[in-house]
Amino acid sequence: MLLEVQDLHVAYGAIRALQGISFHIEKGEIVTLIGANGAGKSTTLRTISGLLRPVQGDIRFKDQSIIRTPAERVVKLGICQVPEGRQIFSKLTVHENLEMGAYTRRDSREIEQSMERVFASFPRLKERANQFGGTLSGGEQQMLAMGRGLMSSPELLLLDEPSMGLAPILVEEIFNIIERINAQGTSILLVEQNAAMALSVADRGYVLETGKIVLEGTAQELYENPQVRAAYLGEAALQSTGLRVESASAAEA
Amino acid sequence: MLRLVGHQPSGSGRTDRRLTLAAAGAFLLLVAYLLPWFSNRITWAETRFTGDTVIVSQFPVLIAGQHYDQAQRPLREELQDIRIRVESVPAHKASGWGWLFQVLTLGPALAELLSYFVCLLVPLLAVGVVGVIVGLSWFGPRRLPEVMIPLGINLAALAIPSLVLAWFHQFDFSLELFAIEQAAFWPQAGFWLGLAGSALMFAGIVGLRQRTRRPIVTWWALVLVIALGIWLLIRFRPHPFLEIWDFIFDGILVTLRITTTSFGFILAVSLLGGLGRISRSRIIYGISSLYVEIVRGIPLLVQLLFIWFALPQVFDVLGELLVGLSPRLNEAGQRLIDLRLSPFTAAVLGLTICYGAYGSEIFRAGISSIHHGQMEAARSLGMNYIQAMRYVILPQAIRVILPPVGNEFVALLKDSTLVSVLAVSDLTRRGREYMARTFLSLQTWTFVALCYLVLTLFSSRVVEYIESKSRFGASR
Repeated sequence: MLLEVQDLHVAYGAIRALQGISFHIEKGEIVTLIGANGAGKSTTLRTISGLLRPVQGDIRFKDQSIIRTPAERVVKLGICQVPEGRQIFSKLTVHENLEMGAYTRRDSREIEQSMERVFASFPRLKERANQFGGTLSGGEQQMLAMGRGLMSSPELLLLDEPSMGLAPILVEEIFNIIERINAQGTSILLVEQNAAMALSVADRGYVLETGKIVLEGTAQELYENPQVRAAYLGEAALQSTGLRVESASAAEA
Repeated sequence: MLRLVGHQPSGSGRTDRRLTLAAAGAFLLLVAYLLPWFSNRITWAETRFTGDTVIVSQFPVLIAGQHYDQAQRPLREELQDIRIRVESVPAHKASGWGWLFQVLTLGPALAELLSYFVCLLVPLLAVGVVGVIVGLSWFGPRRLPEVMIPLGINLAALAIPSLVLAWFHQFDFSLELFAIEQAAFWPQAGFWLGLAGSALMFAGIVGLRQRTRRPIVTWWALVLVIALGIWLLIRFRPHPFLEIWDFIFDGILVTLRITTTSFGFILAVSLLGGLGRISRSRIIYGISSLYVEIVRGIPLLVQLLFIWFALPQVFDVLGELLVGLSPRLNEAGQRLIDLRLSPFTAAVLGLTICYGAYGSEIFRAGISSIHHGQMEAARSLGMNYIQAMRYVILPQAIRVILPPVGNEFVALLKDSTLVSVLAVSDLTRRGREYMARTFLSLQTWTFVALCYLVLTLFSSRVVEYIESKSRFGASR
């Protein structure tokens, strides 16, 4: 088991954002957390990456508790969070942004190799290597944020809302890249509001509602679950992801 | 390099007329430098006061520093009269070039006649720049470096008063001296031709003002004008302005020293206070907020008076407390009782405490203006809080912080007058001391006000410049 979250409670002052959630990620998996605004998805990610301290519960990464580990050490252990809203460094060039991703690493040859791998995954970034981060389009910024995360060569990548504010065609491209990154051996914990898209790439998923996990299962199970369909996969959402409608109908057939 | 499409080399006759006018003016000015300007000069002056004081000065090249003699008026004596000897100058030394050459060959003594040298040089610089503009437009490539036009217009405009000021140097800006031998000081043909040439040159070159997007007159000009005003006051009315200047000059230095020293400490306190105000630790947040709230609620003057008059008593009480507490603390307590702040330290301390509180709020606002996601992004790349602050947040916040901090500097410069209530001899206190001696209130305070004005306007311009540099690319 790569990551195991046990009975996690997190609070912002008096507000109890997470009320005892448990889940796990196996090596090589894509696991998605879906849920509405304020369900506690981002809080979960921030707690795993060490930005928040839980009130109660445990997070074990490769059988080692990391709840007392500060954020900068969590990165060295091999977990990297790609924050919500990209948060790239807009006054640095694409190349410099990626170098910042390798902040914890010292071996310049390995960093060079990671850079090449990132450029291979995101050819668009290579074209714009000397452009300022702030001049990129939204989709390119998301790619840059993910590439920057990959520069620390993590075993587990935490993606917070990678589809936020992107055009449908770009969302599809981003999710294709997520699948490719996963195929190269990086496990991924994906937090998304776009449940249809998330379930289409994930192996397993958890549904979060007001700080509790209300449903869990394989992506296919969740996808077919009537509650999930009603709450998160409204007909409109299904229409917008043509890809899924087809495969869903194929599954029905 | 910034370039703008200049005027066409030939083409419209309108453009040509302006350039012709400027070129003709420049040519006239050059010719004028070869003709006689001032053919008489003062070689000797005797200044008598109503007492028996007599000051005699000799001048090897040109009268200079006679206003110092006039300003050396002893207390309770009036200026009685000034006698001068006037000598005619050989023709080859009387021309513009002649005078320039004589001054240049002075060597170290040039310092005394530096202003005269500048006055003779500015018209020549104007001719040079105008010559380049005209030459490039007529014979050179089609484009003109954009900075040339404002430079040319400004120098051409300055050439006219420069010539007039050069003339005033002949009688050391003293209307008394001028009145003695008016005919001797009246300029010769070359001077008038030079004036006419400068005017023509300006009239021609000013027509090109539409050809550049750069502003022709910037607010730097105001700084220059006021500084020049101070200088002219000193030259035309050495009594009392030269005396005031000599008296308050060290006050200007003290004011600058206090302002810059405190400003350094203020930046440090503001940074710490600002970081404290966004701290997640309740204790640090509480302490820094309390500091900001309390200090901002007390007038600076009261704070300074407290530090100067009340703090020593606080030290005494604390010291006695330490002595009474334990014999081991005896020495430390005694040292506290003996501790006395120097006026300078007290002033810097007071200004730092007060302005640090305002600065803390500026820094807090600047740091808060950076999206908290940037901190999270930096943290999730493996930086700790301090590294993320130092390498990611502060460099971005500085752009927001800089303009208000610059304004704080100017405000601090003005509020530093309040330290004159401590025993600090700053500009204001020196002004008050001079006034107490001579009762020349109008002259003293006008002069002090002008000095502050030059300092504040100058620093405002510098702040503006730094801001414009840091704003570069802000929209990215």
